[in-house]
Amino acid sequence: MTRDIHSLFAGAHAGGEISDEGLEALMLDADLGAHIDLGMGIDPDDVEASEVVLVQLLLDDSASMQGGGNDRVLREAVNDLLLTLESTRENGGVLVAIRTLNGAVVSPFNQLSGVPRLDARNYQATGHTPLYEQMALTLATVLAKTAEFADAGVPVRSITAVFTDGADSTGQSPARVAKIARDMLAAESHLVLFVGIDDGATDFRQVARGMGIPDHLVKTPGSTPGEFRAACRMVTQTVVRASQVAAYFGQTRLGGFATN
Amino acid sequence: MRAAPTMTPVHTRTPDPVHTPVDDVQIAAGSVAGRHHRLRGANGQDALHWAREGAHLVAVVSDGCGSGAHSEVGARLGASLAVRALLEALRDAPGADAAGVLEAARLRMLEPLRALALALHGDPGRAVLDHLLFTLVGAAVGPERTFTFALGDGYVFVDGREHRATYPGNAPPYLAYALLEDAADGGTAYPFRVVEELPTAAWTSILLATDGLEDWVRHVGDPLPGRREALGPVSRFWEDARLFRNPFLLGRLLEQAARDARTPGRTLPGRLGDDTTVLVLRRPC
Repeated sequence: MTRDIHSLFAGAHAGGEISDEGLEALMLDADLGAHIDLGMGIDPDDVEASEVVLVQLLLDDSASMQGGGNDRVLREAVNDLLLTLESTRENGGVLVAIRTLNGAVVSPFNQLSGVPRLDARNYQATGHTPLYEQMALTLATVLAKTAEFADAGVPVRSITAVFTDGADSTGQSPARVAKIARDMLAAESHLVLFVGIDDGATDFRQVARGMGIPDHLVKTPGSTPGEFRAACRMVTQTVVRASQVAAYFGQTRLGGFATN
Repeated sequence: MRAAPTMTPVHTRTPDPVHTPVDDVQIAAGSVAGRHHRLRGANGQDALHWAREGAHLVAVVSDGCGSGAHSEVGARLGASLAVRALLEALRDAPGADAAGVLEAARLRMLEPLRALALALHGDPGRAVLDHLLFTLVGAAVGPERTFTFALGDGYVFVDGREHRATYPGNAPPYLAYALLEDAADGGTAYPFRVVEELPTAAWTSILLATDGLEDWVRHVGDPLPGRREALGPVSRFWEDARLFRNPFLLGRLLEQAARDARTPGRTLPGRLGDDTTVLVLRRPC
């Protein structure tokens, strides 16, 4: 299905969900529509639910993730998240998408039963870290999908979870990401969670702030598998709770990681 | 010694359930809060309910009285009570005519409503006026016959034939009036009325709607706010196969019609000022 991504953004801008700055950031890339379309997935008319929660995962597949086995931990964590979501009540309205920092769309937005589990074939940590470029594309995709459901008359909210073990490796600026992320977080129907695995050198809270993501939405676990695994569990708990409770999407500290 | 004769095993199995016409009935339904309620931040006061039991299907839409402080409570309870009461009345008196079934159901509904009014408020009359005033428009489908009914205003379309009751001063009768101390004729003045009765094999579509549908009818040729697509004739509710493939699509269509749309420079108001609930039954030709 060919979607008019720019019309979706224009409609969201007219409705006040996207600011002038945010729209400018989204329209910068003439090819953005085609890239976004790859991740859009299921048609709203095929979703049998009264409301929808979009769960977007962005996974670092840079070569450094292999160090210490964090790629394996991440695969297990994602599969655990999918399993946990499947066990929740009324998960028919939960749609999951998975993409990687090096541009792979493991799954466009789809119902849980249609999302492939991660394995060594569809997730391989062999690339580099174009964090800002992929963050912009991922958040734009979430915004477009949100707009598509809203246009179809479906209440929708989203949770994006980003996992990385390094800073951006391409020298790009995070400013574009920040404009998009700020619009999303201001709407109070989007959460953006950021997990930066401590590499001993990167200030991930600074990296996140540069992308418009506030500290209470950031976790910086140590690089051991145990610490990373614990942080992933916290992401799972947060995603599952937020998918069940609309009140989770506030600008207060309640709209952050689950603490128990 | 002769060998015991070989016994062919007899497989006992549950008999296949008997297929009845109600098994073929498709249902699509949706409900939306009207623009006037949205602007006030108030709940929608409509409700709908349906159930199949045995060879019968009963479906109902309900509209809470706008001047009641919490009429959405009554609308929701009333829709469920009506369906339950009718199914029981149909089961208990299979040979009764439509009016008899409806009266039996009405009396069954009054009992729990009376108990609820007493439990809710020191002044049961107050409880009735605040919570329990609601209209009912519905259909009862059986293996041989189908009848549509109403107590209060609303719409019934049977194969495109429109039936609509309106009342002076927009003041329909309510079932719960029978609970008030000064109820007319001891409470018997507020019966259900049969709208249309026909053989089940004789219809292919029935649409039930609360009176909010009037706004849809008024804006038939106008576009959905912010979109190029027109609201379209009421017949789209029973002609559009998509609405029956995904049970949530009808509600989404109502939402698109009811909500405001913002464009650069202005707001396009939603088309449905009042709460609007539509329930469609469809049978194969």
